Amino acid sequence: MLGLGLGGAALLACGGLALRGSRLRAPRTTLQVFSETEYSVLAAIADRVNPGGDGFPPARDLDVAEKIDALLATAHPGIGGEIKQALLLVENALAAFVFDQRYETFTASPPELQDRIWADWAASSIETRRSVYKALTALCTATYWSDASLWDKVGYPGPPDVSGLTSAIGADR
Amino acid sequence: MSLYRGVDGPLELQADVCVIGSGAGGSVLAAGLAARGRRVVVLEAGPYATRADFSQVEGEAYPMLYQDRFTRATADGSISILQGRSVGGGTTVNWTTCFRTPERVQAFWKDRFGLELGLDPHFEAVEERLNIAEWPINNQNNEVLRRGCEALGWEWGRLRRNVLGCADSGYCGLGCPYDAKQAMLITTIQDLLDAGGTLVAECEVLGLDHDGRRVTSVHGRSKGHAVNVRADRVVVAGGAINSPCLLLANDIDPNGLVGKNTFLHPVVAVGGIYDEVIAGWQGAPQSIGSHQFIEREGVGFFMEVPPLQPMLASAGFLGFGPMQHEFMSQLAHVCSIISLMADGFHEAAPGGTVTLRADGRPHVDYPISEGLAQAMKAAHIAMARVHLAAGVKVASTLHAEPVVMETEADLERLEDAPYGTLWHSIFTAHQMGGCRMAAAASEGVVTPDHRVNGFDNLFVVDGSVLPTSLGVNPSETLYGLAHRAVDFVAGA
Repeated sequence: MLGLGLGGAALLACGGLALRGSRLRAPRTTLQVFSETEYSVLAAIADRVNPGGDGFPPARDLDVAEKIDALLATAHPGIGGEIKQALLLVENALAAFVFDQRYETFTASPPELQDRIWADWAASSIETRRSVYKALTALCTATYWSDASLWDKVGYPGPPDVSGLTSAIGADR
Repeated sequence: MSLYRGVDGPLELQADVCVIGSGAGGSVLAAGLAARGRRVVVLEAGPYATRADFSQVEGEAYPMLYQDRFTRATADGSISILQGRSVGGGTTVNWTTCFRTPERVQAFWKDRFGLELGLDPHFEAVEERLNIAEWPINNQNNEVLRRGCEALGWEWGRLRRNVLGCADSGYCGLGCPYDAKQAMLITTIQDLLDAGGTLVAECEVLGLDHDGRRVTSVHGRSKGHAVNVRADRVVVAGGAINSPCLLLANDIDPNGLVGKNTFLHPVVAVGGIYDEVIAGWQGAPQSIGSHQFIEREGVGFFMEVPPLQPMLASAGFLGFGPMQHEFMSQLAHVCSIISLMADGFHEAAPGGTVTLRADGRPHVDYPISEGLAQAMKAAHIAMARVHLAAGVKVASTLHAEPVVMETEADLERLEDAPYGTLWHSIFTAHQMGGCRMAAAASEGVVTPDHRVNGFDNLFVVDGSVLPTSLGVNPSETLYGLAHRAVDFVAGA
């Protein structure tokens, strides 16, 4: 899913030192794939992707990060592994210092700064950053908008009622 | 007839033919072989999901019916790969659009790869079985494409679909709960079972026993239990991406070409917000298409529209924050047009490569050249022009920072936008190639009779054999090829 490249891998190798200062958030379900740090990064990103307002709830109210953890628990472990790497790259304070002259981790940054950081990643000349941005934004976006509680807010009536249909074909054998 | 929805203990089977994969290729082939009295066993990695499972709820259907729980993508993440994974393969979730292989494509294959396939009688046969016919009703999404092309004087045409008694609900991509889509699940798979064939669902194939000339048995795993099939002939039909991976995992790579020449019809899109209600979630997903630019200089492309249920609509939106809410608030008024790049015909679009990761998953490398990026730019301009000609209020690209247009003068903004790898959303719903068919052994993985070069009893019958992309939706080409392949596999 993601090609982090040599630069990303090198920075991740320094992750243990660089991750100090993460602001952790408690998940509302038992995590199956993510560590608490990884979950906290994803939850922070999800809240920037869908911060709520104008009648829409923030991502945290819809348990977007928890749902992604649950989804990845049913997928090949390699997929979750790549997402975990991407999250640590976003959080990595050493990378932030090297590339952006910032000292804070992503989770420890205020929302306005997180918005600027995420916009910078979207437009970055570094392909790895755009790759991480696209993967995590898409994951958060699709999970958020899959929630049935949002259907009426976007004028979507929901799928037709298909209960009680019978098959004339016999595929239900 | 034996249908296994996974197994609860070790399973040993004997067959004349073992078919790995139950999609457009594998199931048409399997049904044809069973009709000729061959003992056929089909192994399918995905679930036997039927009408009763198709809730039409996106958050349930996509993880259940698509590869990698709907997260498959190229290695750099630039192209999201929508690929089916259930009994029936992609046909369970495709949007039902059917085209015969275009004459220009068949001519290219003849000139470049020495292929004369004689597909017409096979198309006639599958068109009858799958009730492939022109669909006369446009939803508003398709009507916008027709209206815009008409106003511009551009070519457009009505599309054909494989449906019977279609409720025109618009949820083809989530499995058909009406059993109206003539997907493999309710047609050729049932033909196979009725003819005494065996289907094992939720069975992932891991190994092929072979000596370099003959495959003797197939090893799979289903719900933790071993499934072994001894067969006289083995057919790989896991689709582009998965079939090359299975061959590579078993050290089968004649000429070093397995996985190379993989084509994706990379898709770019431009959304439009209209005063009128579009309700792009309702009605046949695709009934109008335009091939106005398929033969343009450089990489050609064709235009269609996608259905727009909320999750799929949002997945294409690369921006974040309040702009998402603003866009989605107007979903009922949104029409999206897509352009599919016809890769494999021009040096700027040579396709990609599938290799095997250390953990066994596919690694799909698909570089986007400057020439392909320029074609994507041309497609953006064309789609925006269609929207404007159709009376759009605001047209918007799927860049992280969308390019927004309200008048023809605004089209200039598209000139300065970046195109290509990771600058905007790109999808693929059509995966092709990777086990190229060619007349010359040195040029292909399989021969024109689908036999893997160097092997006596190993075949590939699915979209991976296509030597190029098609410039049209691929399902009918795969049905026709598989129908043609019955003779070769039965007589081997």
